Amino acid sequence: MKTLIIDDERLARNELKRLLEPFHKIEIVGEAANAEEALTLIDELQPELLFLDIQMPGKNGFELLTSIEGKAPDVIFTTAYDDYAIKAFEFNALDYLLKPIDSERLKDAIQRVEEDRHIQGESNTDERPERASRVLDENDKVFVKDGEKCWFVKLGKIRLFESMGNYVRLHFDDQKPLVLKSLNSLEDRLDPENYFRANRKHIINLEWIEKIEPWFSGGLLVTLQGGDRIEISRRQAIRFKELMSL
Amino acid sequence: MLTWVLAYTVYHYVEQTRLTELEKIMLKTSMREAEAKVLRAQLNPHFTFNALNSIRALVSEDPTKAQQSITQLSNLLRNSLLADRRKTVELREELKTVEDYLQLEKVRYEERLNYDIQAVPQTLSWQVPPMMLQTLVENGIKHGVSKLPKGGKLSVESSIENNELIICIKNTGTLGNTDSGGVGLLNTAERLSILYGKEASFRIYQESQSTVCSEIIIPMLSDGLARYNDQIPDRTPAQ
Repeated sequence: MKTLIIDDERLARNELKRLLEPFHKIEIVGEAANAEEALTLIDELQPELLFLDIQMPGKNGFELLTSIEGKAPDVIFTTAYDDYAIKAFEFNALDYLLKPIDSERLKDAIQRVEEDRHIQGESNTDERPERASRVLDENDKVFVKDGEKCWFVKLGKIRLFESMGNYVRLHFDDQKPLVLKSLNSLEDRLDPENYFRANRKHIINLEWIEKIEPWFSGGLLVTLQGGDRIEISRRQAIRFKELMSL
Repeated sequence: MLTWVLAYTVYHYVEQTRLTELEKIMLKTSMREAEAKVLRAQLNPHFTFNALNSIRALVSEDPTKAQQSITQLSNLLRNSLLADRRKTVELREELKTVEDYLQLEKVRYEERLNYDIQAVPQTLSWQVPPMMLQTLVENGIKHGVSKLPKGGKLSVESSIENNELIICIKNTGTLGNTDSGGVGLLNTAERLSILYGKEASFRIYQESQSTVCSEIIIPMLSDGLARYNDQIPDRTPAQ
């Protein structure tokens, strides 16, 4: 598992490297001392796992994650002691370790990550072809933060992307958080096999379509599981029909 | 005989009243003492655990430094615990505590922290509240160096003016993103007021574009206060 260590203190990074030595499945591909360095390395190296210190100068750990353009890797947060951060981790069920890190707890955390990846069928990363990491598919996770709440959401669970000015509202489960991204930038990132730009304000996840009906002016009305009804504009309807071979 | 009894009764009554007044004052004082104890800075756990983590790393990288750091951390912890027992300490001792603290922070921040302590020799025997400077220095690091990717500087200066001790703690940073109304700072103001009354002062201001200054002014400990220091027994509040 390609791993990146992110912590502003050199000694803290060294400590973690030392503790990770016995874990042969963990391959440390780089280190970063702040969010800027980390983003560059994440883009270049596409790590699968991050050990992320929450308190760093400049952008903090959460801010770093929301800035990631592509899919979010698995993350194990680290902190020495921070009431606020720990509350956020507990509240959002995020995995974290307290510094100085206890090796037993490190082992458990790594095991949890491996189990999750196994469930998602990602454990044999060697077999996975080096895809243009630009396009995200339904198995990729993204990190979403809205106020106190944050999630690592599998894209496949997001049934609808709705433009709200400078923000996009994501619809998944019973949540509707806002993210600071433009609908166009998201469209560039999403796999066109699964995600379709229905109209100026919406991108729909094709897997979630329940019903398709003809609509005014040659358009279509699509009903998604969960009840949302989205219009497909006439121009898009032509492309849609091609896509679905209707 | 009756006069005598009457005189004695009157005397006794007056004496009682006077004692009650004194007791009242003592009670009030001990309540304020209890308050003051609670207000005294405890060592920040975030700092403590980060320090321990750094020391653990140093054990293999630089064992001598690890040993020194453990001594420094232990001094800090001890002073933090002892702060409860003493109302004031000599500035020289408080500066030693600050130095231990800054050395430990330097282990963490390395080239990102540069510090400097300059004390006019006559100031070293001045009586100051224990752990107060330490709190302000910690605050300076928290809102300065730790927030700046390139790090910064911290300096402590002490001097005497108009028979008052002036201590300036300067750190790289700006007040704008500082919560200058933090709990630690409110405590500082309160502690000063409890110990010295209106003659002491504390303020934080933006000294230059990139430097924030925390300034404490402490009068000489008066005779009255010095006696008060010795005479009031150190009682822990009843649980």
